[in-house]
Amino acid sequence: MPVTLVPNQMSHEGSPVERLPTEILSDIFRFHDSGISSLLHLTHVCRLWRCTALGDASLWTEIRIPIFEGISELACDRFFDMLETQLDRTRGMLLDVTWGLTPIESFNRRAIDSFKRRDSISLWRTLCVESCHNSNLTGLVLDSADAFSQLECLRIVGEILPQFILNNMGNMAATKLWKLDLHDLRIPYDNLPLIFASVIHRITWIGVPSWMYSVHGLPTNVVNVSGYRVNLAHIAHAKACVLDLCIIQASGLIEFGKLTSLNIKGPLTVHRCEVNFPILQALKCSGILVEGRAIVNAPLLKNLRLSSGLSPQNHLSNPRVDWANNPRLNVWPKESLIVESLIPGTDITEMMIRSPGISRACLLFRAEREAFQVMERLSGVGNHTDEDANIQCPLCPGLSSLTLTFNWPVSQVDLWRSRATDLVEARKSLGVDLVIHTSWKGEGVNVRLA
Amino acid sequence: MPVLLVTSDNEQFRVEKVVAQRSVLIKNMLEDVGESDQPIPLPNVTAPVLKKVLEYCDHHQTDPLPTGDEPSADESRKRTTDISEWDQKFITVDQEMLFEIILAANYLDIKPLLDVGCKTVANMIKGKSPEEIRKLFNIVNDFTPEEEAQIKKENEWAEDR
Repeated sequence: MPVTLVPNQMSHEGSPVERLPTEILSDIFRFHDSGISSLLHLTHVCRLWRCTALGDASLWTEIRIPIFEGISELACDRFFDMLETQLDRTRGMLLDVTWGLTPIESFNRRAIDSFKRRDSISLWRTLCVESCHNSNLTGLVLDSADAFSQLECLRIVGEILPQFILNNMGNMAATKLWKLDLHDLRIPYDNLPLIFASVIHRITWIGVPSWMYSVHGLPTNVVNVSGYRVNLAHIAHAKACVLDLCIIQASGLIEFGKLTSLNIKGPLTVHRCEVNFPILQALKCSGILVEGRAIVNAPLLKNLRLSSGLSPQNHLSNPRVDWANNPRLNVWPKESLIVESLIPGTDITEMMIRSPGISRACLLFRAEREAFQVMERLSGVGNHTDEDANIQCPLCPGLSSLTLTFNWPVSQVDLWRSRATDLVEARKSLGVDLVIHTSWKGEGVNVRLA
Repeated sequence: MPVLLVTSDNEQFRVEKVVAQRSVLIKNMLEDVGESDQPIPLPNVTAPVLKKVLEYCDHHQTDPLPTGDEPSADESRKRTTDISEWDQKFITVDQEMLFEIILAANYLDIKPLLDVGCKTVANMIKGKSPEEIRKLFNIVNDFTPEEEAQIKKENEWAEDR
């Protein structure tokens, strides 16, 4: 029998929490998000909290069925009581289901039946199937009526591609599936494209397994790619990519006419070809390594983040070594430059010279002396010469936000304030209000200097 | 051009427009009245709370404003309770002030600040039992013994964990 209660405002007298409207309390519960057990605990605090939690069906839509290697009958009964209670509380909303395939077939059947009783398989919005080596159950087959009609995202994690998925691919034919995440599927399958042939022509996002190096042949509808080590030349139609390592290996000129965002943990390695990113706006990588006569162009790049990310030893020892001065790289940002790796201050200055239009810079320095040198350049000391017009140019004249970061404790904050104040005054003569922050190891986080 | 804000306890705050406009409420009011030096009354916010809120707005004045039309904004909001170090320091206040800041952020429509407040409360209750949460916020257990027994039964799965 469900317990229906009326909130009792009196229980919160003297508590500041009582002044919060229920929609904010709901938001707090949403952020709390520590699983069903914690959510159940919240319903046990007082009537108001219980009514708030039960009144917001969206709080209950994340359903997790853990992998049980062994479970007592009593614990099993309690789990399914809880699952049914949770399903009741979702009141027909779309569900995000994470299902650990327990190697006990009767347990999984019971779980399926719980969903079936509420016709809720058709309400699954996301399905994450987790499997272990001995959970390759063969008997879990859905009826044709149990189509995943609302399924948008399918994620498969674990040792194997579960038979449950293979058995029910037919039920996915009429889904809204756009996201297929196989990133954490650990065992290689030769015929993966064939297995997903019925859905691959509808998805726009794919997480490529870490063992799959070649993404050649992905249909052009797949425009967002996440993967470990990918030759980008195979997916020249992509719009956005998140990769651990990225290689571009092609012959002659290759153009990525749709790519707007490229996020790489490690370096971007370009082998002997000319690469054009005509509309790329955001690039994050630990460096660009060009081999042979390779050329890289990104004329509309807005944001460049040079991260400290991966630098595999077998690839290169210092991928950033000739970044700043390499004439074959035209990858200079128009809006923001973020340097998170330790590179020489002279390289930072060179990068800023090549990025004159930026309004925001966040820079990590190896030494305070180097940071002072960059500030001096920004103040107008040793202004560089525009080679075309042969005139003296201030460094990044439109800069309005500068953050200096150090990986050690800074003691002379007053000195920094004084330098920063001088710099702000100097920039005022260019008609720009510059704000300067600094962060350093220990206490200082985004301390405003001037 | 500075903006004049007047709190419920009649204190006046003169702040830069770019700072005041972190509040969608104030931004809309300024757009409605146009260029004017009329003070903006904020009857739901006291001076000490507004001072704190303005400290937040000043620090975040150059952050991109949330547009609200990103499809995954709500999704990503609920997924993380990470708070930046500066925000954590900023929100390290007593409970009374914390809830006042949340209410002010809600009233002034400053979504990122509201999120920081809600995340902070969410982090405070994380891992706590119902009894510990009651103690933390001075909440009275208003369930009858019968109700409590029934709810406990419903929560048996959670108790086993």
